[in-house]
Amino acid sequence: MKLEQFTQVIETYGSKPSSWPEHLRPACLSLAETDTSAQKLLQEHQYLESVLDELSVPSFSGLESKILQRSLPKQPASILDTLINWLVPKGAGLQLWRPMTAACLPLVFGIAVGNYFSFGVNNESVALESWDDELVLLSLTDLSSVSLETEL
Amino acid sequence: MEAICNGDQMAYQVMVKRFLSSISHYAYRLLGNKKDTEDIAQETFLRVWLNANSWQPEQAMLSTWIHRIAHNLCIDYLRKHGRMQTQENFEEKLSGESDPAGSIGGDEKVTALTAAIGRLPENQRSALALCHYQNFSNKEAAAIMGVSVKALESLISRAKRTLKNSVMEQIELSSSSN
Repeated sequence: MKLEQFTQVIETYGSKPSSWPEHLRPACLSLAETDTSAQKLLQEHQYLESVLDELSVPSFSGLESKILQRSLPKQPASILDTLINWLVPKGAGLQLWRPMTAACLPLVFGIAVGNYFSFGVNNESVALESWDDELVLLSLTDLSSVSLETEL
Repeated sequence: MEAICNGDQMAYQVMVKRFLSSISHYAYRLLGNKKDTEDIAQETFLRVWLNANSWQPEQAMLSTWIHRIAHNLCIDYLRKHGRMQTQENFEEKLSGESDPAGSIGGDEKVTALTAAIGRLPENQRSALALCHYQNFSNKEAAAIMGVSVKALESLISRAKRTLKNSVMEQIELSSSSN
């Protein structure tokens, strides 16, 4: 292991060997025993960490009671819960119209869609009202070219 | 947590008692200001109460999720008030005005280190607070900060290098003056 990699391990994981990655620990320990620069670096980081530990935080004595005494707002319900509560209101028998309305919705939707869209069913394709009309039209059609092509 | 989702205030109290110390310490390490730390801690627990349904245990541990809320609030605060305000907070702390109990002490190396921490960028300070003081693993700290593990390792590495240099400079200064 090189000193650069050792420095990276120390800076990232701290100076305690127990916090170093397991696969790098033996190489780090061996370098720390043999290399004086590594030893110096390790000592500097141990010192830094000891000074960091000296930085204390003030006590927040009244904070817990302040938070607990604060009145909590009502938790917002999820969209699904809101919908279910609307459809099946608790203890309200007179509001049966809600589930009934919900049940009728697909039917109303189907009728509306059926009214507005033809889905490929075209009234113009059945414009001729009887077979007689069709026969008249056939008699008027010039079929001479068709028969010539079939003979060829 | 399920009880909190169902509006159980007793469960909420248990959760506050369990995480308050950790959240307030983390916010203080980031902001360096007692009053704002208290505001952030209150807001954090209020958000936990309101958004309890959105916690997904398979995605994050509860402590990670709560710290992430606190982290986001602190970052919002720092963006609003700017870096200068935070540095002032740390400088005030050094002068002892915001710390009448004198917990910081007059030690030169501690003073130099506190000032150096105040000068660190927020994300480096946050990485240091989470990994060194809150004892989160690098992976958990990265999840709290919303960065990759590699990015977090780079942040903590740079922070420690800066702090080590400032402490070593302080030692050299004091030894040369003596």
